[in-house]
Amino acid sequence: MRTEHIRNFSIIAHIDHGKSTLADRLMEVTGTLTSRERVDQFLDKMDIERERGITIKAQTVRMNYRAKDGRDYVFNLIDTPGHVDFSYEVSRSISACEGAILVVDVSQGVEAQTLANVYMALDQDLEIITVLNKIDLPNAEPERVRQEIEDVIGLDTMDIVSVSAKLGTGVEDLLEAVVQRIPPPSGDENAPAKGLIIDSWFDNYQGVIVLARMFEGRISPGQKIAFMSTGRTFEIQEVGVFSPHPKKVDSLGPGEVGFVIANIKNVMETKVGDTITDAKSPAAIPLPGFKVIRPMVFAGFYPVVSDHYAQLRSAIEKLRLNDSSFTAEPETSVALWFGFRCGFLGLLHLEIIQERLEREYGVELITTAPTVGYRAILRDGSMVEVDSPARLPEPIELDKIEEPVILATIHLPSEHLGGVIKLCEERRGIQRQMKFLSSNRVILEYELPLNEIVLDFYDKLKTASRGYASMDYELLEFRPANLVKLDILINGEKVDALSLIIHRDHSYYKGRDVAERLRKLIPRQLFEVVIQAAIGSKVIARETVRAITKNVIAKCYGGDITRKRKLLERQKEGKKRMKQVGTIEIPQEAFLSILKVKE
Amino acid sequence: MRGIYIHVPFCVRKCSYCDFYSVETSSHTKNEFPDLLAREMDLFRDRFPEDARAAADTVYFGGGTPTVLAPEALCGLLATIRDRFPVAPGAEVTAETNPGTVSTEDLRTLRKGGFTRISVGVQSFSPTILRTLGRIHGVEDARKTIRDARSTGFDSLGIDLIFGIPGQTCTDWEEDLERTVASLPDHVSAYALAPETGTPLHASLSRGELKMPPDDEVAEMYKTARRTLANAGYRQYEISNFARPGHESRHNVKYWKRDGVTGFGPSAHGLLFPPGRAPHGLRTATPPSLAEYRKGIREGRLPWADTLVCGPEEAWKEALIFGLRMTEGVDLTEIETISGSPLPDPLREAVNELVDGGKLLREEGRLRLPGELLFVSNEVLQRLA
Ligand SMILES: Nc1nc2c(ncn2[C@@H]2O[C@H](COP(=O)(O)OP(=O)(O)OP(=O)(O)O)[C@@H](O)[C@H]2O)c(=O)[nH]1
Ligand code: SF4
Ligand SMILES: [Mg+2]
Repeated sequence: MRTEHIRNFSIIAHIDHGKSTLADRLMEVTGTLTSRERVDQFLDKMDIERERGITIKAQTVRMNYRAKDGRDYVFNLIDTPGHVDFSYEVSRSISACEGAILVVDVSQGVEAQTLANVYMALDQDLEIITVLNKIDLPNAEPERVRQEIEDVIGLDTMDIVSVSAKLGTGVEDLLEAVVQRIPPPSGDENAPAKGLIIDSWFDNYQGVIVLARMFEGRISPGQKIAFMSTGRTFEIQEVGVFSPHPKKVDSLGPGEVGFVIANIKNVMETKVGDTITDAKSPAAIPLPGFKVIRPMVFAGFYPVVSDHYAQLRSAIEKLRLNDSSFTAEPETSVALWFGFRCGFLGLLHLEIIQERLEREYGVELITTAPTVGYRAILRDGSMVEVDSPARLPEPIELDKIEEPVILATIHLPSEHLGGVIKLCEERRGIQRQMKFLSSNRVILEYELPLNEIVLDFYDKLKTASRGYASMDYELLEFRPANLVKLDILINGEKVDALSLIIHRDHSYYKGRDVAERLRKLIPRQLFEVVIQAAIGSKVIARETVRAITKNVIAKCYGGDITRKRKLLERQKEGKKRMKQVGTIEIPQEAFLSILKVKE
Repeated sequence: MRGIYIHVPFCVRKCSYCDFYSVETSSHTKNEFPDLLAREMDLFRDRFPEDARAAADTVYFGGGTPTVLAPEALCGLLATIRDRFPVAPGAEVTAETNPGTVSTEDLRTLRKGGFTRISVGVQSFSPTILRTLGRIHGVEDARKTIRDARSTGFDSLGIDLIFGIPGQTCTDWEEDLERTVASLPDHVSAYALAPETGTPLHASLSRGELKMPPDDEVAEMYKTARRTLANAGYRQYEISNFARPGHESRHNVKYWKRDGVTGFGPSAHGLLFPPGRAPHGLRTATPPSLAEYRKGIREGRLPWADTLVCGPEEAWKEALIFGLRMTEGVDLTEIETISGSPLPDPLREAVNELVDGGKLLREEGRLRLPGELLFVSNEVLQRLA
């Protein structure tokens, strides 16, 4: 394969602007997919992706294209996710490419992830082809959007391509633009092999499958390869490409993207971003690799039935094999017994993992309130990472707590500016910049504590802007803040799984809110339940759930025996969804609901 | 000893809260009914000869309203029973009745015909509440039935009451209790109203035309009943039942203690212990339909809709769940001896947990519910289900 006939590109965009649909059309026009195989968003393979209509995992496809110049080209396309939680997938994908197709929905315009993703691509010196998508929509505003692209991103719109990914309009032009404008990869076929691991996952039949982009040299079955960060060596059994189905090839050379199977048992051996080289004549310097991604949000996962702990552990291990951005460590809770403290890239990521554990592995979970990771600075100067309120050191040991602060970039129509600013200020935001893109589009930059946005900020932002605002964010730094631990006591016993770390200014209000919320959620039981919210030893709110006074089968004679027993069985079943904490039964929702913000 | 239950599925008119099987019917159906019962008893005797030979010490005519049948017919049925099954001397023979369906003369006939106990469905002494309940009688009818039962010489007189009725206040209920006590019955049943789906009362409640009193108030009424009746010399022996010593319903106790009962008539239930076949009991039920019942008998078969052979665990659960309804509670060793199988482990654990949590009391080998938990007993008993 001559490199000048290869084109590697990612499709990037804001969420829902039509990346996966465009990928469908590209595969169709190039004949990569037979018409029988056609389904919408073909590359969104996971059930969860299909149900939610979003891409979670980047997917690679190799396509053959005969261009108008009469020559045959090989395209490697990577469809990427648009959601901010998965932006690392975008960053990996673009480092395997020379170009990117930037998709902009003409009914929406430039949004936060449009900008964030295109900047990532520009940072890597990628050639950008700007595509206006959804031109079939009646509310399309190509002129306004074109202007925005020039003003906001600063891209030249002279050679913009207009398409309807849905109808296929303009797709041929786009393919030609790829050939003409995206540079072919360069790389010396005879140099020592150098390939970048873009992704890796575990397959039950073939072991670990590595997806790699070759930069130099050539790899083929039988060859011994080494991973440069670990020095571990393996013998290649098979190399191939996805087109879109896996297809064996003889070798992978410079510029090619494909899979490598090398009898690897453990995905931990194949770190994304690591460099593959030849074991006998290794490359001197590895490829730059990726920034290590760290979980931003943490929550406890506990089995509803304590006996299911082992089942949960094995399910978590299996999921971790294919998603190294999700972390899990064993944790114990006084209230919930044995479980795991898990780390996620964001709330969507958490939800997806939770749903997959429940659906694919059949474990019923109690999820504790998500929290961000804090840093506790102790009086002796040492630092402890706190990924769970229960682990916050005692006040006497504690010098200060630092919280993660993000830089949020919010795009919105200026008419909603007031509401959005108010929201940011309520969430302890500090305005950094306000940029008017035009008379009615604004970009706001706010420094915001991550714990203020992790949960419901995005929904609130959408409400405040009638759905028109979009947001991107990145971690800025850890900053000291006046944070306290809010404890919940039930009948005098602290329920560790209900503790929260919260800003002192919000603590009174929140304490009352949580206590009240729990009062509504905890059903009346045989004994009175007293719910208290406390900071340290100071009780700031108290609610009681009065003891139940009537639950009886008053009349019970011969005819009723079987029926009445069924009734009791049903009542018993209902209780199974509750977690017994001491003598009190707490419904599962209680553990999550405490974070909900009062409407 | 076993009991015999006869279900008489007739009423003058359906009450608004009723979900028992009973119908307003023609005299033809009523006339044919005793014969159907006799044939059912014959069929039973043929199929379960050993059970049929066991002596019965209670006979109970329930319904419906048994006294919708002529007293002679009821006495005739009692004779039919005695012809086929041994009834022990001194047996308790009860008829349920509702005010407005019996005259003094009727009661005298019943008493002479061998009935020893009468249970009167008074339900309330308030005209408004009787209307809400859709009862056919007024307060005066109830008073008269009670007087008549006394004057005709029944050994034991029971009054049934309902509380927790839409529109009823605590004061209304206190008055009902006072009047009850003043009528000097031997036995009082006081049931918290439970609106059952499919009844007109349930429908009015769902439409919002009526409202149930709040649980806390109903619980208060229950407390008042326990206190008032205790003060008047009635010992509580079950969640909803109170009696002067010696006047407990021996028949009903059989249900809670899992003693054998043979049921006849549509929607009658029974618990049999056919030797060698169902050591832990066989639950039988005739369908709640006269037509199906009649059809079965005419085809020469027992018209049973449902039979359920209890396993040892099932039997234990029932023994605990229903035994604990009685204030004397249950004796685990006794159940073990009778059922011939030890308390299964999961149930033992559940029992121990409840005892540790103070939700069951263990005293002298007996287990019982604390009095203050009787009205929330489902919360406890469901752990044993
Ligand atoms: N009318 C119209 N709808 C389109 C077009 N392209 C995509 N859509 C619709 O837009 C929605 C989102 O499309 P996707 O292809 O899933 O978008 P995506 O960018 O891959 O989304 P994420 O992967 O979640 O970021 C779907 O409902 C598509 O049918 C288009 O050209 N015209
Ligand atoms: S009298 Fe009793 S059985 Fe008859 S309808 Fe009324 S409640 Fe039902
Ligand atoms: Mg997609």
